[in-house]
Amino acid sequence: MTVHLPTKALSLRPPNEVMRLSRLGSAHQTRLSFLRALLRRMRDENWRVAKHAFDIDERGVGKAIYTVDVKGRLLSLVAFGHELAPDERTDRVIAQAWDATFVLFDGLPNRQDVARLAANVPRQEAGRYLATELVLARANRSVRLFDHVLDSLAQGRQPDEASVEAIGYLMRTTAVYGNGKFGIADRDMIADRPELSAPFRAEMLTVYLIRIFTLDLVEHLARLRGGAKAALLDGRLRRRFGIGNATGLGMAPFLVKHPALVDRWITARETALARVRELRHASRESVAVFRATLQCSRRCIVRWVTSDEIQARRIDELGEDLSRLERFASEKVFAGPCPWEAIWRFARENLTLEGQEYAVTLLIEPHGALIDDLAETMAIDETASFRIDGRMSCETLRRSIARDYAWALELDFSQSRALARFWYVSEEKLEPRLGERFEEEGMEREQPLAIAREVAALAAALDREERHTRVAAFLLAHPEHRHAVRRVQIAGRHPYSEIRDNLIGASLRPIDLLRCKLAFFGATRFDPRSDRWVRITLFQGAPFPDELAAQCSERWIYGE
Amino acid sequence: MIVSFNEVESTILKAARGAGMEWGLAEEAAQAARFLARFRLPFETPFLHLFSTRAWEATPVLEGARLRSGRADGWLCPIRAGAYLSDLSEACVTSLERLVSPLLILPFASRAMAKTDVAWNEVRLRVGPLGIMLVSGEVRALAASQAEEVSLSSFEGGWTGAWTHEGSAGGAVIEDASWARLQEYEALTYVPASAKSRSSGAGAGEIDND
Repeated sequence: MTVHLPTKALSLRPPNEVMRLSRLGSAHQTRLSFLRALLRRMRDENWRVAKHAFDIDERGVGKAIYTVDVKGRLLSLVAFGHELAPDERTDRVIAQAWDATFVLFDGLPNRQDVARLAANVPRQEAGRYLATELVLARANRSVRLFDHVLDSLAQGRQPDEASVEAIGYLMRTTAVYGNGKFGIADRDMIADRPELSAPFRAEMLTVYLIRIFTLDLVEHLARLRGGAKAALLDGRLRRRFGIGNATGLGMAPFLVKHPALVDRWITARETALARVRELRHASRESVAVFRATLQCSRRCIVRWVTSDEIQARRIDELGEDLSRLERFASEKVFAGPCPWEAIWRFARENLTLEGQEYAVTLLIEPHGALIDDLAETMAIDETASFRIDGRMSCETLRRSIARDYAWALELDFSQSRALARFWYVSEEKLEPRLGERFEEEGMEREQPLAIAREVAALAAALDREERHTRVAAFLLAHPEHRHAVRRVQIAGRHPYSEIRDNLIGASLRPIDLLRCKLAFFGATRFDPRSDRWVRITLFQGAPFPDELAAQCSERWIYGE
Repeated sequence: MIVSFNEVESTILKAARGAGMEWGLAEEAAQAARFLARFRLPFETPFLHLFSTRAWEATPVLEGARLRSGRADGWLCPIRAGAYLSDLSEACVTSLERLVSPLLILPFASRAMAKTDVAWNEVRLRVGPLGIMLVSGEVRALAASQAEEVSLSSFEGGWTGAWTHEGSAGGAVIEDASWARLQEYEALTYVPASAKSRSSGAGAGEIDND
């Protein structure tokens, strides 16, 4: 097979290619994903995790405290265990009771703090919190696996490995809240603390600690039940437990409401890919890591199980894609010029979207020394991009739209299919929802997520303006376009800020939005439960705190 | 109660929209509220008063360096007027006529000019990059519901006096009753459930025991 190499300098993939929903919805974790960056930092800075208190009875009721010593400064996970009736166990964010509830506390809580937290944390959204609390979360058991593991250990046996592998977690979180929710600390308060400044760093740490808690809990309950004959989990099997997560529409608007932040995430990943593609030669070590990761991945995706027909087909195709990629990445290719670029070109021209995005992951993987610094560039002060530049002329703004929003101007909003849906917040659940515009009430209370339609309307209004009119004067008369003007100006400075698809069209699949965000978190095993609801696994295979120091390879995430 | 700045921002965003502002203006209102909360200045009473007036429905008119409501005897909206100041980022407006909730112009004046003096009635405020000084007037006058004339001017040089209001962290103290009234406006952005919405929901099963 002939691969044509570029004659000019490589650049980042264009936004028109990267920011389509079908591609964002095919994203996979990479070295830059937030949970991986967290574990590297924990390893490099020797964060020490300790079980400070564990007072839980045989029903699973009680509390536990884990501390993390970050270079002399403490963070604490305070966990509360509850007894939950089976008919109360729902993944829905609107549930009112859970198997366990958690808070990440800034420092070590004293008795008064713990008493206050005990009165609020189990109530989650119904409680109130202070700025000493950084993250609020809750989780439910995977009853099937939890009971099986508990029974097995209590009888002195190891649980069935296939069951552990098939489910992958003892508990799944149903919400993890940060940034000022219900009175907890605003992100501003931790944004300048290097250990917590990366996006969702505090949330990822919370989930990592919850994973440790779930394993300690099941072993503790087995000991209470089985006494001296109870077993502890085998070390290798213990690692196969991650944390599950169930995510619905509540997460979807985030990517639209934080355009400058999304640009930082995508820019980091695309920069990493570009740096790798530009390498003229492949080192022996990097080739070995690439091959090992590819082989692990092929085995790993066999264990990626979903009942969703579309995703199941995509996983099958991904398996074929990886086989083709492995065959292509021969010694001859690696001996030639710009081998990573050659592999990338092969992937782009021959693989499915799912396969292409997996190729991004594989290409980045061997190059930690070249790209890991980018993980620290993924946060941004969003207030800096908020102010509208009103001195710009309407003509300049119109040109920006032509350049960055051609995809939106091509949509025909006179067709009902183009505006079949509308996003709203449900009064009953206080959660984002997607409604059918022509079948349901409420479109006058639509959330501002119909970006394509807004920008198309702005373009039409600008066409009626004098070219040299300043944007400030235009907006003084037309405040209805203010939201769209801000987005267009942000997109001008942040090329990957805008999802380049119609978010109110009939063919929208909301899980594409969820998948993209979860991939940046570092999620694996996407298991769609519908077109707007997905289960995932986090930290499956990840080293425990006492194993981090000895951990050189990060191939645990590929099931090694 | 103590509310986080993020709660201030998100509640004012939705409340402003619920009261009837365009989303882009509601975003400006939300940022303004966060600014005031951070400097421990009252935002709840000025916003509640603004919401009751619907002053943003009148298009402001610029006459020289003077901004006024486009309606005869109308009142000027500090969010629409403030957004214009912020957009231009220069000292092009020195006077605002018949302004509703004048304190709400402060965040915009600060964004437009790093060093600004804002004055109405007996109140004089000096806004610098690191703090705000109540030069004259009483604290309770800050939450005035309206002012016939508000003047803006930039000041030169440094500021050696102590700021009376400095940027803070850890949230804002707010009266429960005011917060509840803001939440009533916020609720106007929510859509009541229907049989159809209940059936499609967020897509998850009701019970998840697997």
